[in-house]
Parts: sequence; structure tokens; C-alpha cells
Amino acid sequence: MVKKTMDRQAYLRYFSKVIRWRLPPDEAADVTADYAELLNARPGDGQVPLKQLGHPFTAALRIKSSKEYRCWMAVFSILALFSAYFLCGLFNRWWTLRAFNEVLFYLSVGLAALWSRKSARGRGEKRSCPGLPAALLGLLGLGAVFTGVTAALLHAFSLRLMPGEWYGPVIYSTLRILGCVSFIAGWAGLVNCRMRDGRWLSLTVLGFTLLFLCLTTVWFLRSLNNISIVQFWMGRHIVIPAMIGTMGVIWSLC
Amino acid sequence: MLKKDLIALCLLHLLDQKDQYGYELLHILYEGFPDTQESAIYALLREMCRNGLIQWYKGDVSGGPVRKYYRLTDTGREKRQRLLEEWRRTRDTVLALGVE
Repeated sequence: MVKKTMDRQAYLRYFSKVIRWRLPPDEAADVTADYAELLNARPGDGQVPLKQLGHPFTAALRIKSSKEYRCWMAVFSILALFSAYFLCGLFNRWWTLRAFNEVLFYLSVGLAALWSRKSARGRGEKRSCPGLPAALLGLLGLGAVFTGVTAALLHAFSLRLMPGEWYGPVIYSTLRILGCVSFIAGWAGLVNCRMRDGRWLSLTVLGFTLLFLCLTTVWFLRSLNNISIVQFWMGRHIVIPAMIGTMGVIWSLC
Repeated sequence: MLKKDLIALCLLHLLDQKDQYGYELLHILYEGFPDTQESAIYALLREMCRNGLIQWYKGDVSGGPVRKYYRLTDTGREKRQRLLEEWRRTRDTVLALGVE
């Protein structure tokens, strides 16, 4: 059954969420304040007639989007597509275009870092960014634990301490779990960047970096059988993206 | 003349008469155009603000709470005049065609 009315506070909450997605923070705050005033000026029992004012989602969509919003949607779509591509690579055996993956990775890190600076510009008065340090440290800690586990497994395999039939599934599961967590963290960073603060894109950069490193590791493990060659190539092709990702995170935070 | 222009003309006309606050404007226009939701009228109001046709200020003109009031700018007056002329032409054409 279609709702005919909505509680004033619920209306404003819903509207505020949608409008914060569509407009830059200052503009969104201004429009939300206007709607709060409109709702408070309305006589009655605190119920908003939806037929008269319009559903909060529709009402937010009616506010003309700016060029900035269209640019953001383009950035969001590209980053979302790249991250989905990396995630698919973790689960698809035939995802072997390593050079192409690297180009996508450098593009996404560059784009996220640049956009985070653009979004954070003009918000100098809001220095604190609650939740972001904890999220970054949490993901870094998780990354460190899973890297340790992966390295230990590789070492155990090279020393023949672990049977081959255990090593494969365990190491793939480890990398896939970390990849999925990084993917989710990257997306959380993307959404929070829009809704809260541009610096949240540093979480996206970190998430995508970890996701890409998982994908690269899986790719090498699938491609090569000689563990010493694997370690050599992994050192080269993981250290550089890891450094680029770290620089991206720092750049996004500054 | 589009309905949007007609509502814009009414909005500018109302503000030409006196400064008004958001809800007051939206309520009057919704009474006149009940199939146009207030949120659509608000979007139009905001667009006009952005285009410099109207300005807002915080005030308590009617002695009530401090609210966001809207007033017409010179550009808004010119726009109102253009829309009014367009409306008169449309009305005359419709009448000349015998539509009543």
C-alpha cells in the first residue's frame, strides 16, 4: 500500500540522505535547512502529505544537479567498475591480463587521489574526520595479518612443510577474503567521500590497492610453478603498486 | 508557453507584490496548481535564486519566527515582464482561436 503521509523527522532524514548524495556538502546543507523550515512552517500534526509535497526521494531528484555531480558520477562509475573488475579477477581463473590490470589500478588510484583533493578543497575548517583513522588502521591491520599468513604459507610450501593439496585452497581463500574485505572498504570509502568528507577516498585507495595486490598475487601463483621465480616477480610487481597505493593514501589524506 | 513558465510567472508576480517566505509561496502556488507538487515549485524557486532572478534573506517580516524570505531582483523583474508579454500573446492566440 502506498504511503500517503510521512512523519516530519523521517521525511527530513530521508531527504537529507538523498540530497547529500546529489549535491556538494554546503549546497546539500542549505537545501536541507530550507526543507526543515518548510516542514516546520507547515501546520498540522507533524505528518507530511506526500501527494502535496512529493516523496522525499522525488523531491531530492528535482533539485537540479550541478556539473560537479555529473563529474562525481563519472568518477564513481569508473572506480566502481574497476573495483568490480579486480574482484571478478580474484574469482575467475582466466583473468590473466596482468598489464591491463596494472593500468586500471594506476588509473583508479590516480583518479581517487585527485578527486579526494578536489572534494576536500574548501573544507579546511573541518579538520577532524571521525571514523576514518579507525577504518584505515583496521584495514591496514587486516592487510598486515593476511599478508603475514600468505607469506607464511608461501614459505611453508617452499620448505615442503605443507602438502600441495592444502596450500592452494588455503592461500586462495586467504587472498579472496582479504580481497572481498578490501572491496567493501573501498566502496565504503567511495560512499562516505560523497556523504561526509573527500578524505574518505584514502580508504578507497587503500582498499583498491589491497584488492589489486591480492589479484596480482593470485595471478602469479596461477601462472608460475617455480616458487623462487614467483617470489622474484611478486617482489617486483607488488612492491611498486604497494608504494603507489601508499602515496595515493597519503595524498588523499593531506 | 509551458506550464513551468506559467508557474514561474506567478512566482515572480507574487514576489513583485511583496517579499514572502518559502512555505507561503509554495502553499499559494500549490493552491493554484494542485497537480504540481510543492517540491517541484521549490526546485523552481531554487533555480531562480541560482539564476539571480530572486534573492533570499533571513528576516521576521510578519513578526513571526526568523525565516528565509525571498525578494525579486531587477533581473527577476525583467524576466517577469518578458514572461508576462509571452503569456498575453499566448492568451490572445488561444482566444483568437475561439478556445474558451
